[in-house]
Amino acid sequence: MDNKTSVLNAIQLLSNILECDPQSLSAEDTIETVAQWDSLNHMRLVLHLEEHLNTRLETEDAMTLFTIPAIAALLKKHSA
Amino acid sequence: MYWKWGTPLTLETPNYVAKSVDAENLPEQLIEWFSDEELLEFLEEKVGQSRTELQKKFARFNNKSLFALLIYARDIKQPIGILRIHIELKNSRAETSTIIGNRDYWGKNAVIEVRERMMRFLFTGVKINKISGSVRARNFPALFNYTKQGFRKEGILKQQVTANDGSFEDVVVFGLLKSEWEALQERSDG
Repeated sequence: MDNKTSVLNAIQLLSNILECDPQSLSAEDTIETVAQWDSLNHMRLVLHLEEHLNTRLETEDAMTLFTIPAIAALLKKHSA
Repeated sequence: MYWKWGTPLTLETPNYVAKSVDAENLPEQLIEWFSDEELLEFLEEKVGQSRTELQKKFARFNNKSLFALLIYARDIKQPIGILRIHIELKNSRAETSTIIGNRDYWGKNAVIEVRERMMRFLFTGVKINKISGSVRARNFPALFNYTKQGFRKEGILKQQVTANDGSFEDVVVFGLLKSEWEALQERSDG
């Protein structure tokens, strides 16, 4: 998976969780910039990622997932 | 805000009021939260403590070094959670934890709003230097809230506790210094 694809996948995945238009999210978005990204949606996001990747995330990985680039990096890492 | 050391404390925010627990008059909701296995999974608490046991526990909160504040939602005028603070004056440090027992208030910013007020009270009122919090690694909402409020991850304690399913679980330790909090305030004001 290349960088662009992983970012697009991260945006799609987050927009599904937040039930928002993927076009409303950008590649640089973080928990600071997306109002709907609250604590409950964050839990849904991490649990969804674990199900999607069929793995229980290491704490070190789970602790990075507060930005779109970090979600993209995790998706890329697990696609390798 | 006027408050005398050792007397009940009230912290107010636009949507919530946090008030010192009266151990003699514990609300029914609090007894229910302490019987809720799912809710207590992330805390070092025994499930199903009786009213008498909880009264003894909460009588220790002296509003000096130990605080337990019931969080009331203004819209329903009912307690929805509890905020605990342990102050170590010698080290100018406080450790805190929060439970939102009423699930209708999960994801409603209650922890962030009340903790923000608590941080202002501790840093500017009590004048402590550091606030810490320890969170089980599977408590994703708490990890989110501490990170969003500018706390730094100070470390991960590997396999520190046992989860309900018997597996070992990591604990993430967060910290925020007064100087860091002041910088965050300046940034948000600017």
